[in-house]
Amino acid sequence: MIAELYWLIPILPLLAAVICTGGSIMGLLREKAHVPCWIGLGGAAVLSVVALISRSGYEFGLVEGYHWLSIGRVQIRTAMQLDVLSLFQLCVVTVISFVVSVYSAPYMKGDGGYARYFAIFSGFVFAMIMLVMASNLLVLYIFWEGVGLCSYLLVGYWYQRTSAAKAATKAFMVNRVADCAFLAGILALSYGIGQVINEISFTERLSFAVIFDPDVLSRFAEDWPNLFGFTAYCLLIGALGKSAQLPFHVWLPDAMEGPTPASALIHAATMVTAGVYLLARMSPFLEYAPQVLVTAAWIGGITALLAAIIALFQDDLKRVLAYSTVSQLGFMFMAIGSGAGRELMSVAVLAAMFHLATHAFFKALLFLGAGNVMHAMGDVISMKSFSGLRRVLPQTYVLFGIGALALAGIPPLSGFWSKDGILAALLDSSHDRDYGHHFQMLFVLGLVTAFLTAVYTFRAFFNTFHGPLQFPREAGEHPHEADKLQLGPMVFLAVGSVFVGLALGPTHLMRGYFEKLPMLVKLSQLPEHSGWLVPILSTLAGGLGIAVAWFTTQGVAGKNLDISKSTFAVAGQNRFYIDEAYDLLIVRPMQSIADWLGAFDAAFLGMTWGRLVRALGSVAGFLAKTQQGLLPRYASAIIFGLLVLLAIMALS
Amino acid sequence: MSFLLIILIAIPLLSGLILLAFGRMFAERTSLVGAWAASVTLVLSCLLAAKIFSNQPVDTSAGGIIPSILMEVNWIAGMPNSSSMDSEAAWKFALGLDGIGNLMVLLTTLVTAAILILATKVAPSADASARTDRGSYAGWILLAEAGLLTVFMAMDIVTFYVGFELTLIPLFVLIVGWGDSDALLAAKRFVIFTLVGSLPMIVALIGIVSLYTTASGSTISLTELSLRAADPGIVSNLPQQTWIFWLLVLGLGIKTAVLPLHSWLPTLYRSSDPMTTALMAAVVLKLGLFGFLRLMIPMLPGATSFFGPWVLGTLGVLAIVYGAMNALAQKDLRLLLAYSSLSHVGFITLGMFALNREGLVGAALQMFNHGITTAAMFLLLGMLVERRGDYDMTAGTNGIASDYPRLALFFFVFVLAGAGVPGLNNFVGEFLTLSGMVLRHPLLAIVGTIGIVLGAWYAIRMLQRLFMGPVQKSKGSRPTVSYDLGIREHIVFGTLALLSIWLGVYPQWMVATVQPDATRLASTCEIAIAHTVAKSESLTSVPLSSSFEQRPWNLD
Repeated sequence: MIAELYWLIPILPLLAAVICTGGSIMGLLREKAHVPCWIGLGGAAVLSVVALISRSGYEFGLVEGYHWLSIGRVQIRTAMQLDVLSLFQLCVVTVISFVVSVYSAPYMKGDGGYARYFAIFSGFVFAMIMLVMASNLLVLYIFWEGVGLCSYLLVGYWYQRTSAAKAATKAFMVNRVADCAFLAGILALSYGIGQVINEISFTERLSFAVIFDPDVLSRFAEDWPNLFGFTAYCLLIGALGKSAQLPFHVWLPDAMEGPTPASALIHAATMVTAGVYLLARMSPFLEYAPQVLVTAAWIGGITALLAAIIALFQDDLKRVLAYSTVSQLGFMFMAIGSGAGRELMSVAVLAAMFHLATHAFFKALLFLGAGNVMHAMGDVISMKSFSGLRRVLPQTYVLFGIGALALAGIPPLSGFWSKDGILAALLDSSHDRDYGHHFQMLFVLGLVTAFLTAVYTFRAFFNTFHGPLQFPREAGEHPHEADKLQLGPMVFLAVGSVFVGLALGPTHLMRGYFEKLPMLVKLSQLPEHSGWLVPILSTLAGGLGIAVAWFTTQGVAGKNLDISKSTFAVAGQNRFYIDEAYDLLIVRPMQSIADWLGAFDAAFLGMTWGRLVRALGSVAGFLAKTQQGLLPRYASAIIFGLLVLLAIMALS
Repeated sequence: MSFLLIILIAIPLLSGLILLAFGRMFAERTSLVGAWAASVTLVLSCLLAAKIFSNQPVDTSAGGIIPSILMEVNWIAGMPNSSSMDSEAAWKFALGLDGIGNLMVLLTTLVTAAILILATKVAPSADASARTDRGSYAGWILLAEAGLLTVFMAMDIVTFYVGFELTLIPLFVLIVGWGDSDALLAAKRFVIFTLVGSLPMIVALIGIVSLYTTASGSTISLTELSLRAADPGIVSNLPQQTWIFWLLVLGLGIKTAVLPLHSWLPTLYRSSDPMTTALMAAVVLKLGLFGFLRLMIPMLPGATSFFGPWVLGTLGVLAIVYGAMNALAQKDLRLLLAYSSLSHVGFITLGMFALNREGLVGAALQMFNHGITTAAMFLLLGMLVERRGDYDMTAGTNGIASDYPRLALFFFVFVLAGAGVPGLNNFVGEFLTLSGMVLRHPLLAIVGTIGIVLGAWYAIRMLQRLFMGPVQKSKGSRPTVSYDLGIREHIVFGTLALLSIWLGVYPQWMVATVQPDATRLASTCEIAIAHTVAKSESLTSVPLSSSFEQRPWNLD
């Protein structure tokens, strides 16, 4: 493929976004807004698959763009990074987003902001593509913010709803806090690299080719250990924010206020994985900071467990899926973190990216299934108000079931293979001399979470589709199965959920492709993990989880398994009061400080200066009194002055 | 070509005077005349900008201010060095444009045109009697524009000062004549603050001229002065520059609203008309910053590079955080924007006093970018209050996006630009100022990034409260306008929004215009820093008073 053609991959969605934005503002397009979006995203998907296949022989590739900025030492080009990591992620993004865009058209039909939806949707895909293909950390940051902006706009899509408006603000702000750390990390990184190699332009310091230079990295890490650690932690915080890990996870469940297809794409399959992608991208850098990787693994592990527990107690189907996303992203962070083991970074990246890809398929599928349920139920999504829907939504039932099985990690579905990969990577790292003990604990944590995953997934599944048929009044008389245009994309995703893991994992296709992962130890030089322990344990955990879910939801005759009134369950339903704690400990104190400063500024400073100004005025008033045209006063002043002058002359 | 410079000032000046003198003759069309005059000025400045762009000086080694277009007229020949009567030693009236000046000229003409085009329809006051007086409003705005343009194009120190002070008069009239009931008080405070600043400033200017008076005579030309200042022999003459530096900090600091001297700003922005405030916040607030770039950094490189980064850099960081925190506390939208301006100006100071190329380019860019964004915000505020009847964020009609989608759209764009979202103009400037400071004092820059969080907080929360959520109409509000934006507003805000996007996506063309100037300033400072470090041991042994003895007064 001609190199410049790669630019079409981001440009097609961009064009779609521009056309839809124009249509939205002018009030044109109306019900046809999905057409440019489909064409743009479809083209991008086809091109990126072609690129994935045709570029598999290259390790590093740059396709030049234009100079965004060049000021002496700051020279920022928009070049595209085409290596196995970015191409793989690119394919996941473009394919899933095209599929979801097809689903969106019937789903959003009749909405007042139809064109606006597709404009933001295409804009998001453009920004995400640029994020993935960035060859420079600053360009990555720019589009990192760009996808955040699109996410904000989609969460607040139904801006008339107070809850949506609040959720959008929350999503933006929580991400901003993390992004601030990310930006500080970028600045610190450029400063640090500049200390190591002086004669280098500002941009090149931030381009991956320079950052990943082993010489530069080792000197940076050795000569400036504190700065290096600071930088790595800053980048980690940035990743935690976008991927909704502790302590930033609070925005993602609220982000479900957006349209369901947008949730499926942005808040499940693609954007939230950007944090994982960032860490994978920066893996050659992070290899020098194993303590940061261990921190990432622990945060991921704790987030995975906590989110899984919270998901157990949620009644809102979409929120269960949202917490499930948080939990699965925790798995990916654990996977990346397992790179702390000596020379195991490439295995860690492989495991994380593999789970990222399979998760994108089955989680998008589950969300679209939830969208079908929501449509049929007249926008009611609380599992308390419906059950037994397999009779009215038979196709959705099957498709959702496939997604749930994949998420629960039942062989041979995709989720099984990728979760197995993560657990195996954790087990590998547990033999490490320095950090092994961390990963022994995390391995157990991972298994427990895998069990809980199966429980909450199937609790939601059974509650929704099994039991006696009932549905809320909003659903009308006859809830109907979704449109063919909605089911088609879901079938595609279901096929992916079943076969992607099987195709990439046991066949070693992915391992072979990631062989050429830049700057890391070649995968073929590492011993391959094989053994029956991990797959058996994870299958058992999944199977047991489903069984537990069945017994707790459908009940066993004569036994009451209702635990929803216990203290722990109430805390879980209330998400362990983390949102409230943030409000009480961060938001309110900040607001009080701000109010106090505001009062200080207005009262104290304003008054002080006001007094000074008034004092000047009274001085002027006094001086004015000497100029009233009274001759006797003038004469006495003249005589007084004369006397003073004479006295001075006499004395000197 | 250079005669265009004087025409650029003459058009707003003459048309302003005509409108003020004979405004009644035009009757209904007075404001239209104003809009046309401002538009012609805008076109002319764009032509000049194109010229600047194609005619950049390549010489970036020598320090100093080198205009691409220059117009000089002998003013006082041979004064004050009467021994030589050749024209070299003459004091010349000089106008010129370099990259940074050009950017500010563009900003001024753009903002003025935007204001006057909008003013053709909207009365710049809710007061019915003032509404009939649109012509004189346009006249005073044009006079203010003429004064501002004089400052930005001045190439001699006297013209600079004259423009700097004369601008105050039309501004005072605009604030008092079309403002709230307490505008008079706020205007008084503003004027007294500014006049207090003028005194140290004129002393400092005399100091600068006398500092660089050589055997060949004194000069008031900015170019000549800056070249003499960049001379390696005197570039780091710290004791002589120090007292002038501090006087300039005081004089220019007041105009810039540097932190403890800022309290004229919130009261003024609250009580004057939003359109006037647009001009004040976008352009007038930049006068002091422009003064730093024109007078302090090139003329006093030694003292500036010794004190500047930590004194003004720290004040800049403080302003970023303090301004943003204060903005969080405000309910009045005008005050919120006022404090956010304070915060944004902090970024500009931060970058400027990094004293390197990245920081200086960033500061120059940010002066323009903040101007565009803030002007648009205040103008939109004017539109908003007509439809809402209240400046209070918590009272009045909320959930506005449902009823006025276009107004909301433009608000979103400019609020996001102000919050530093990449892809819009402000991000470029903010990032460059931070990356400049990170090379000088990394810690200051890292602290400055906090402003990005706080800046987003108040901005996004304002969007949520005003525009999102269900429509809530309060009984007290009395909107005077009930329709969404008209064609005129679409043109103005559309242009500004497209400019904002264009500068965020492709900032290079603007960077290219200011880069040579910034490079020259940065290299002057580099020389000064190198010399200061070399002399740092002997520095402590030189008593400050000796500088006064060495000063060459050639006046007698």
